Amino acid sequence: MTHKPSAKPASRRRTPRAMIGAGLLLLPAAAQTEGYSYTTFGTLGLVDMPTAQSAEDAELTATYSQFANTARTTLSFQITPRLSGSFRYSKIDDYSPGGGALFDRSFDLRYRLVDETDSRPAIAVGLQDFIGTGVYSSEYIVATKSVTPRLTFTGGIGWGRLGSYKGFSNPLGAIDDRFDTRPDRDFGRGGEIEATGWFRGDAALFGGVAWQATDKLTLKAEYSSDSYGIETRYGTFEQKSPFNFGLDYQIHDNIHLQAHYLYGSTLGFSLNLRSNPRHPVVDGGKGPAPLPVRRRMPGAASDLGWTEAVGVEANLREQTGTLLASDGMALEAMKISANAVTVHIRNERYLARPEAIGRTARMLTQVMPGSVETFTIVPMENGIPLSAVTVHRSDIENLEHEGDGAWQTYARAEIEDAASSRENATYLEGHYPKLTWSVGPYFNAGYFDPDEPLRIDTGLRLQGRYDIAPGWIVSGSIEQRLAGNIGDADRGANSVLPKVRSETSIYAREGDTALEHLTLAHYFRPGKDLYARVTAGYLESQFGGVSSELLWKPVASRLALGAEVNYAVQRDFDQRFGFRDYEIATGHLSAYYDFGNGYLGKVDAGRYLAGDYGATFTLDRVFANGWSVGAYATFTDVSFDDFGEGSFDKGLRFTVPLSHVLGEPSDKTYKAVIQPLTRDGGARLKVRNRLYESVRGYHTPELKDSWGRFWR
Amino acid sequence: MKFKSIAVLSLLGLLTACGSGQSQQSVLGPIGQALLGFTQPASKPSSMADIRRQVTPEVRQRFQHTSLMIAQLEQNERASILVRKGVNRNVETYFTPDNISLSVKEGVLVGTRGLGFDLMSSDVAEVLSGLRHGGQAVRVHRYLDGEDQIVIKSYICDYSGNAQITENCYGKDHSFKNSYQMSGGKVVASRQWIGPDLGYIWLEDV
Repeated sequence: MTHKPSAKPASRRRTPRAMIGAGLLLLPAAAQTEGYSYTTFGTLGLVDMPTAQSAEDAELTATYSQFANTARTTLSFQITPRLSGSFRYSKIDDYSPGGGALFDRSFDLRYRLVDETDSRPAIAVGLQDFIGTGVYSSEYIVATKSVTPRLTFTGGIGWGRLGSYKGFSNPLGAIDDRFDTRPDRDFGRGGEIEATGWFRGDAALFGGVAWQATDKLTLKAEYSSDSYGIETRYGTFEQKSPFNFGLDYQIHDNIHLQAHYLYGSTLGFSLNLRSNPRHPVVDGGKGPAPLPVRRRMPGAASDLGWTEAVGVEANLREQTGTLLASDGMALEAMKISANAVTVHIRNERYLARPEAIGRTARMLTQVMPGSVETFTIVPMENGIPLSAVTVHRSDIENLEHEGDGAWQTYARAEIEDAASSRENATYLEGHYPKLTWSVGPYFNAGYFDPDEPLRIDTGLRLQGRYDIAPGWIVSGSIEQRLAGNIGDADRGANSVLPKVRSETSIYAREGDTALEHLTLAHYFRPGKDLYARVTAGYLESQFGGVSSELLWKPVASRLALGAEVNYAVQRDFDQRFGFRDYEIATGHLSAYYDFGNGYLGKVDAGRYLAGDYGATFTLDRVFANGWSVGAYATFTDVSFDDFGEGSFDKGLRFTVPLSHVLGEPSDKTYKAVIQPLTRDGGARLKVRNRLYESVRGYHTPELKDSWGRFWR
Repeated sequence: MKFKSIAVLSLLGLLTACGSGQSQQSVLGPIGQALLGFTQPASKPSSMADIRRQVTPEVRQRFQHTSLMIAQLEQNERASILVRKGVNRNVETYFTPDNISLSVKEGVLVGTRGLGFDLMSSDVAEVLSGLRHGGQAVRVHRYLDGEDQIVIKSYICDYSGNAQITENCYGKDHSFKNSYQMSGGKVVASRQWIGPDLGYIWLEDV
């Protein structure tokens, strides 16, 4: 059940494979004390009971909560201003007649139907633990009204667990008799959506009050409709009273500590770490100022004398290269004529792609002879051009300090496909071949092993990259494990499928010194709107082989289509050069769609590593500053029984830009996938540098979304 | 607690890797390096007066008589010298040795870069007229928000005084009061508001 964050999308965006877990949740967020707090379930509400409130849009909160025999760790995300989702990992001791502990994963959704007005409360409907084994399964409709900005009252009706104390026969029974009884959940292997039982069986009322006594302190009291029946029956916990009391204290901008007195019998505490992708430490970042624009002297535009001189081009290449290098970028190639220049740049610093383009344009005003009026800037990654942005020098001169300069430059810029842009371009001397390397610590994490819910391996990693020629790259990394316990996991792989991912702990145990990857990759542009990659070698720690990919992405299209075909052979556990005797042809057809407003969807359909056929559905909320938070689910022809616990593969995905934390420009991002369960069905090859992510950033509408940074 | 140490560790992983690819090259321009000589952080932060004293004719000579300016954020103890690196029509852009830039249009601040929470641009055409003739002006500021989107703020300002002009501005969320010391129809020193996060900056020609 170990997890390694997915391969980074763009080779130059070095994405350390450290663990994300709680790490990202300690990121700074603006103080948001709009009178809401989180429950012991890590959702917005009172002590145990939900309210109809929503968190600030995009708030991402981790909660650890403990009382009596229950510990819950929850990650909640305000997906849209009205919709929130939570993922929870709980441990309940003594949850069976034999006294064994229960480890449970649960998902919640809540939707705010109605906003609060002067005369009407906010109303929300929620599903708690609606996938899976259903330990916390319940549904509710809740209303919350603020009497003053600091005082809110909440009342609601709950079903399932929230209808278990002083329940009455279901009012929905008036519509249909089926609502009167709640069927026992046939949870099988867990993980299935159990809609048949929703809003059925006895219902009960709950309610409470929250009072924000000071800016930092909130007091809460509630009447709970959860009887904690099973906990009380088997365990040390006892529900003596339905009344709960809590206090929430903001100990730091984004850290809240809570204390609770629960069910007349026990004390508990919880800790909330709040963060928000929309609030980096420094808006706009603290990076160095760009070079100013050099305005041409009147008449300079018609002076063509320079075109006659010898060695001018080499000189201009060198000057441009020096300026770019001084700003963390690089010049790969240049093509110049009397009135136009095309520069191929590599941007390894600015995650906001328009910022790299804007800075390059300003540098060109410093260097280029006056007659050069048209600047075409072609960003390159892995030796292939991703788009061509053409701006007019006079616009750059005139709009530098214009109030509306960002929008006007965008409106006047032409963004086009760059497939043939390299014809006749001259590469900078000494650029290829090029060796780059780095040494640093690494961290790998494994989650949700009942024996040890969080396991970490750490050690040193040596990475190298050799650019042989544009688009031809040898890349490798070696890891030396120094400490850790992922390999100690000994829950045997009990899968009936080929064990393509369930032996990760053996890889961790036997691969003390591991060749993490060693590949030869070729990137090229087969034609307009087309991007291609072929990677061969030791592709990832568990598989080697050949991976090839073709992507169709017109420069201004919201839609992209991709095809990937791989031949993979499972590697030896020691992760040196040997292979085991499992091999498979795997591949997918993919469709990517940018829905706008920051929502990005993806469907991958094809054959997975264990030979199963199916599709993966992914939805990400992407922020212009580089963050993304998303979820995916994979359904294949492997039956839920054969898949095993969890029934199908699903997970949460995160991308955190380092610039969010540092406040300095950096195009490094930190990516991670959290899978509640890692099993063998629906598993994909982890190939480095898949094409879409690196291409997307330099295309519209993404360029447009962060064009405000053109003049940064 | 466990979480925190892990977070710290993973950040360390991000920050401590070293190698040939990760050039942390200095972004100081040649002018900045020349300047470092006398703005090296001293035991005590230099005040605007200290810097004014240090700008001797020899120093001006070293910068080939480029325009210089002294600036200090009100929330910061250290003042800094700035050298003019760009002129675009009537906007001059000045740089500190550590590559923060300020752009002024006839003495009125229209942009900052590198401070964080920067003023991305401002429309001050009416402000310039207000400084000359008094009356009322509309001033528009643009900032980047946390999602890199441009946020527009506008203010209504009125003017009083002659040699020492006070500009009183009111907006939806903030109000501020700038002051300008005029000499020969030009701004020679001023205290101007950048934005809600950075507050005021003192500017002075030298």
